[in-house]
Amino acid sequence: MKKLLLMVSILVVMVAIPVTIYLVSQRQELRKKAAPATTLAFSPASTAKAVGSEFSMEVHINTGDNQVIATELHIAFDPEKLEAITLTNGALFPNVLTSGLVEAGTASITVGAPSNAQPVHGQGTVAVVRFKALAPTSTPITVSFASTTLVSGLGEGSTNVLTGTTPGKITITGASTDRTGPAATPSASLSLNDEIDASLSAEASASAVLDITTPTASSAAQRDRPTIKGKAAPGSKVTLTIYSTPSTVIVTADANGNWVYTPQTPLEPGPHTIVATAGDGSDTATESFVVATDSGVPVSGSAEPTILVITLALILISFGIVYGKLSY
Amino acid sequence: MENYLIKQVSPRTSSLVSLAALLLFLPFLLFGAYQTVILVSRATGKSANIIVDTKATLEPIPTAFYHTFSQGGEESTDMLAPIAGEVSALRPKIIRIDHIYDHHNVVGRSGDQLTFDFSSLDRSVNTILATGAKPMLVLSFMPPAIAQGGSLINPPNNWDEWALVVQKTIEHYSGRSEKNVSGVYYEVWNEPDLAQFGSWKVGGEKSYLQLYRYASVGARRASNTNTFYLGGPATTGLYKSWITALVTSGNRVDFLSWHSYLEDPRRFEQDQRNLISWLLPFPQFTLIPTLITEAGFTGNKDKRYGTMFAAAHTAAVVRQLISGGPDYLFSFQLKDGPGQEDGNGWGLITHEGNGKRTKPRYSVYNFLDGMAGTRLNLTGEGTWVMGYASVLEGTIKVLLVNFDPYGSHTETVPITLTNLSPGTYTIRQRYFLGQNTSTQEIVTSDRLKKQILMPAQSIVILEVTRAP
Repeated sequence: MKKLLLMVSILVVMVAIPVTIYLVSQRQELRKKAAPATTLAFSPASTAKAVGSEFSMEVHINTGDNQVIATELHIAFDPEKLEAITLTNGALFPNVLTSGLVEAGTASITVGAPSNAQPVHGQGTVAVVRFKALAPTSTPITVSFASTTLVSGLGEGSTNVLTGTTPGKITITGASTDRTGPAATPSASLSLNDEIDASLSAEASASAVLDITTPTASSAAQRDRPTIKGKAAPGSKVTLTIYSTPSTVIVTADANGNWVYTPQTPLEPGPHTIVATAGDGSDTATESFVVATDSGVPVSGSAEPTILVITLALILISFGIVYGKLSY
Repeated sequence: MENYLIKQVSPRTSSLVSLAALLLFLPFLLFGAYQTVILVSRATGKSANIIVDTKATLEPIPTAFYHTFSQGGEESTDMLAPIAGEVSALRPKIIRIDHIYDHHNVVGRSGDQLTFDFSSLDRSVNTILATGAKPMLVLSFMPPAIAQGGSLINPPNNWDEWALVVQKTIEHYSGRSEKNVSGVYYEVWNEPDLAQFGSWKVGGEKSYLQLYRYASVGARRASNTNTFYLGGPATTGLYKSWITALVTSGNRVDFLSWHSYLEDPRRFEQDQRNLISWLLPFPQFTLIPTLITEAGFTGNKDKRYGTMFAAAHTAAVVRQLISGGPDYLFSFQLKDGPGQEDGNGWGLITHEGNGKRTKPRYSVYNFLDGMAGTRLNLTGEGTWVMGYASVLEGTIKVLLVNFDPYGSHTETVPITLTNLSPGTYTIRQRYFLGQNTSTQEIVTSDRLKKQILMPAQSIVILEVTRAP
């Protein structure tokens, strides 16, 4: 009995030692792995800009106790008020893992720390987004982080260590005081359009009446980014709203009363309507037009209907031949 | 004749024959209709309208990543020695060679002991080093002295012998007491998923992970070495299962590699995005170097490799990878194999038996270097015409490539540079392997507009400099 007790005791000790060591090491591992504690915020937190102005907002990170390796950033904003021009990496994340992608209402980029040996720890700039103010706001609008935004940290496995985000707020005022181009040039002066046709400046406007000259209802089917031209009082602002899905922009007529606009985002195929409104709301003009395929080339026909028609025709011909021969 | 047939053949028979003839020709008719629709569809697409914001600066343009090249083993000799001068002119960073064991008889056996003779392989590696490049040695294929059945594509009889082969290879080239080369890349196998190279699987009976594990064991045992890099899986394409299996295998993985033979340049960029999304859940591997160790528009021999098609495709792929791309893109391959006088070789240079001539693609890498600088924001790319822009010491540069897989699309491309300062500008237009022109223009507003004619498969760099 004593021998049995002795053997059991030795066995317990032999098992207990490695088990204890294992449990202690697990607790140490838990202490090394920090809880998710990273936050993202825009800087400046709030700002006011004039319509037509371009400005930058930085995305700031505070990593807390995390050792951040990469940030997959997804930014959301109102495409009718703001246009994202560029999204690039900040100084803290020199590696561009996926290039910045800007679209209507969203912008995304994935950036990485210098290396695994140099993860990001602390505070700094993850990325810089450059915006253009498109239209005035009655209340501040937000620029926010989409729920798909992810921050990964060393020792955290696949856990998203992002615990909180703070959106930015932007107020856009109606008058532009932040023009980037020279104001006195005779060429058409546009606050929102990158496509200026210098030849327009040579045309003198015979009338200050608001008008949309192209496209019109009798125009041929347009490309998906049609050039919209019109007339208004020289130097006046004209608000253009393009339907079906309404999008609103503001253009300025040049010294000769000409204005022009080309949508940045391709329009869907089908009918559309433009409503032009004079800046003081005293006059409006409306035109309708049709957008063909995204290339402006009429649909040539898909393969399937063609093949179906040919097949049916051949079946009919076959029956005809068979019936004819049988009759004969 | 007709009356004779009518009399001899029953109506029922003639009906059946007519029906059979119709059914026989129906597929041809349908195919013709389909091809007609495809031809018409090729005419659609989006024309480019390029806009460059000269004040919207982004990250630096990388120019080193495409100065890496692979050389296949169509001959068992040092294939690069006859073209070493031409290769040096490409300023290569890394040159990759495979078949290092089977073409160079490195591994032998004397009784129970393995013997190693690197003298033949040394000649190839010395040529690579002489061009200024680091070597990437593809640990392939299985030395007959240790392979099951003596087959190059089989596992070894004894996995420890495979580990020893890898250890000896690394100690020879990276070892401080031997070749003493720093920064050598060792890639485990070549296209393991291909039947020709063994149809290895991620797991199971013929497991690539086991092949890799013992290679990493050999790497771990290598002593007194300079820095070297071990990686894989060098598959025929980018496959999530292979990538995630390797990064979770617990083995040493210093880089991830795969091959891309894709006609659509945009798929290269999509592959990069996919890869990063797969790696984000593995933070310790998210920043791992990524290498496309063979790249082209097709893995088949193709005469288009000798034309502007290949050059334009390469330029278009570089554009797609200019931001968020891999660490290195290895064009396949430097030199044609022998007997390819009909022009269908993959090489940038023809075989010395065929005149040792450079093909158009040979010159595109140094041409693209003209875009060095800080990337500028460029929008308005089209279906065929794509590009990127940069600024360096006040000179704004715009590269455009018109890549049409069907080879026929010509386009006049409007380019607008915005946010310029008024002044007199010199505009230089450099066509790849073509004409250079230079003009001056006075800009009174904040933008400059040009129209560039781009024939199919053309590449052009526009350089704009403001006079002081």
